[in-house]
Amino acid sequence: MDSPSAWQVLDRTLRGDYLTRDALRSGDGAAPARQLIGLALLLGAIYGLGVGGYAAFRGADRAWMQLLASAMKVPLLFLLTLLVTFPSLYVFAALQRLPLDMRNTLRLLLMTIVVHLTILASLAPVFAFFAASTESYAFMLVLNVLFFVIGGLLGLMVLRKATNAMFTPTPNVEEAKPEAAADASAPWPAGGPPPGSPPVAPRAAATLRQRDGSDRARRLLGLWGLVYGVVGAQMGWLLRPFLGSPDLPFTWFRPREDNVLVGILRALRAMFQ
Amino acid sequence: MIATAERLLRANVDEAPRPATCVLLAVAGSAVFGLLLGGASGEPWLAVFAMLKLPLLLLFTTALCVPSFFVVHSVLGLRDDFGAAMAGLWSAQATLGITLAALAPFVAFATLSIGNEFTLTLADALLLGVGTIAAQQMLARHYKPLIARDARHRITLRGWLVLYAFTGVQLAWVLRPFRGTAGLPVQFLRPEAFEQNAYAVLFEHVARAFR
Repeated sequence: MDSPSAWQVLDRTLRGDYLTRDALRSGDGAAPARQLIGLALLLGAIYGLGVGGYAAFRGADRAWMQLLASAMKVPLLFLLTLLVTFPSLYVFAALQRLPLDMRNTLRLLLMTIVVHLTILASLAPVFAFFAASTESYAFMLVLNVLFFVIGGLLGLMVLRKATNAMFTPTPNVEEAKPEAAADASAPWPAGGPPPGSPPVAPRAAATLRQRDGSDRARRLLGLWGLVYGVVGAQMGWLLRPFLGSPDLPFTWFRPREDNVLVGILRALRAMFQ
Repeated sequence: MIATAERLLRANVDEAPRPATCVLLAVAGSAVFGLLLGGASGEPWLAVFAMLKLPLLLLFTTALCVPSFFVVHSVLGLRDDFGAAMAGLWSAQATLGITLAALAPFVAFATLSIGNEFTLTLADALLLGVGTIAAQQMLARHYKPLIARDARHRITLRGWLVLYAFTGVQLAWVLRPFRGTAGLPVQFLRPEAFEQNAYAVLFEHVARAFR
């Protein structure tokens, strides 16, 4: 079978077609990781161009260099954040015995990143429009943060869907019924137990195990999303400038100072002054 | 090695790897963490020293605590379960090593992001704490059947945790520097390594804060 085009992969990722039990657990019909990485680079570059556009519209020092730098730094921001946070997620997922091996964990996170970046890339024209029509540097900084947050929240939905899909009951395990665990007298579907079955309620036990696994997965992926967000925000601070202040000369990186929270608060204060 | 690590993390109690494999994983994982911790200073020798000292910290702490662990088992009449308890301890050590290796990128990230030395030390402690929580989960997995068999295993488990943490803190103090301090020479151990006590220094700091 021909491998799908990058566009098809993107479309299926956005629709959640890859978030099936088989794709997540065994990699059958999963999204191709290479294409996901390619898409992340491309989509990040598109948003980077939108962000760097502020320097071009405001006539900042070496604005074309800022455009290039932002187009390179947005994908880099995501991939470096993944590099920092992925190993620990993988270890904790294995320790919690989630049905995700290393390759499938990486693929899931790449899908989350691609969704986040697609939303950002789709907002790039909006950002560029504001860049062309806004003088306030602080406003643009806050807008950039806001767009990242919106993309991140929608990206988190991928993780939520993945958790639900991972623990979708198999055809021989029915929907969880609270009474099923207690009622060992009726553990089997109509037709009675298969020959040689033990006199316990294996179906109920399997359902409870799935519920337990689903809860653990949700907690772990939720916590990872939080850590990813914090690391990503600070990584963005380390890689700044993305916009390029019109009052400052072009630089690839700014010296290390304060942290991202202080930076955002300062921008908010400047916006309302 | 990654496949072995994953097998260990997912393993049931009766599928635990051999102690030698666990030690290898603990050493390799903690060495990676130490390498990045020492490497953060930009001093190659400090990176090498920290790479050696982190595994030493794990192994020496275990070695120092195991004799009392054995004695407590014997006194409580749980000697027959000592082998199973040790298998849990080895798996927990390996889990700590693997988790520390997985957290190593955070060390580099913290070094780049945090300018303050005190906050960096806190961040390192936090990462070690996360590694310990992971190890604790593995230990709990191994202790579940033991406690189900005899509730007194709770005593041995808690006793181990207290003794391990108490000894580990002092040994970490003896083995410092890991990150190194700007202005001080690169050394394997500080000259006063065996002269100070971590807890005494801590009490001094607390007392000074209230004066």
